[in-house]
Amino acid sequence: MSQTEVEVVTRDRDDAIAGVRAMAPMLLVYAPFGLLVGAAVARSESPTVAWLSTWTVYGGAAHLAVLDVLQQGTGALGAAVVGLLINARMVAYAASLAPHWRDGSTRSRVAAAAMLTDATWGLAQSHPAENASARRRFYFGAGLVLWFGWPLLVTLGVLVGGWVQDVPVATLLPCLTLGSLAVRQLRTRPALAAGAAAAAVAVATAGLDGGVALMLAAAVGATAAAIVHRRAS
Amino acid sequence: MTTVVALVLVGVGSLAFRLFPLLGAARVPAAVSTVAGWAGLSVLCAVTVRGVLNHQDHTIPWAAPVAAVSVGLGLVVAARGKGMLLVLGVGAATYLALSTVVAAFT
Repeated sequence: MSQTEVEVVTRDRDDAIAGVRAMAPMLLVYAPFGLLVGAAVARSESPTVAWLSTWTVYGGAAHLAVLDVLQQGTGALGAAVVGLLINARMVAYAASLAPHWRDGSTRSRVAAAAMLTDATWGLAQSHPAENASARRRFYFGAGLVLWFGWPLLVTLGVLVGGWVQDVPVATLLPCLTLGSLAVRQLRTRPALAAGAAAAAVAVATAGLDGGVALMLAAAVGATAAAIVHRRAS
Repeated sequence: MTTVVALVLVGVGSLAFRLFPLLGAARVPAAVSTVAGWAGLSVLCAVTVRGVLNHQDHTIPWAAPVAAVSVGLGLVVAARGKGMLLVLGVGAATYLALSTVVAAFT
């Protein structure tokens, strides 16, 4: 292998390792949330199916909401609508990543889709990468850690997670994590407008169902950012 | 059976939400990606605010304001570019300290 090839391999590996390093602390942070979801999985009518859907739903909030709604006796369709509304944000995440995946293989895009969730998206968006390939390697490094780590946390929750809901500070950690991912992106006027508008909508809709409220926040935030962007240009 | 149907629907739907924009990445206009990024950022902000507003702690009164101050301080640390563990440490320590003070005076 030539000196140049060695440098390329090292650089490629460094991008992926940077992703692993960025995501590793997130696992610690997500631990209470994973244990909470796991406890809900253990209580559900079909624990095996609920556990297996950790990989397909791949979003703690939606997973927890569906299981909670089902526990209240709501039908399958109602529970599915709640879960899908909460996970509808994935469309926005995936569409915003599209420019970085245009020249990626179909297989890599399928893998990226499977690993996409709040933390992976937030880290990838705030990571300063020199090009699309570097960003993809960082994304895979981060995504793989969560892809294996999150189901592990949920599994632990199934086994021993019942106590977490009695520790209030533990339930606050996921929103602190997502908030810090958001804050790191608030560097431009449109982004600030999006954040401020979304926060205002979240306050106004605090009593509403999570899925509807989040879709409203996404729509109002994106509109506010687009208006500010248009005025600036 | 209800649980199985609901989880399969949400699982398949969630995968589709993630997959189709990326599979059709070449056809997603740059402007749409930019707006989608703002929408995604808005969701993260809204999730954070909702998490604070809906925070529950039966051991103290004013759990939501205590959570707001704690998360706010944590986010100030995050805005200064500090690491995630420090952000969480500041947020969690503030919450524990404030809840102890609130519990002592009420």
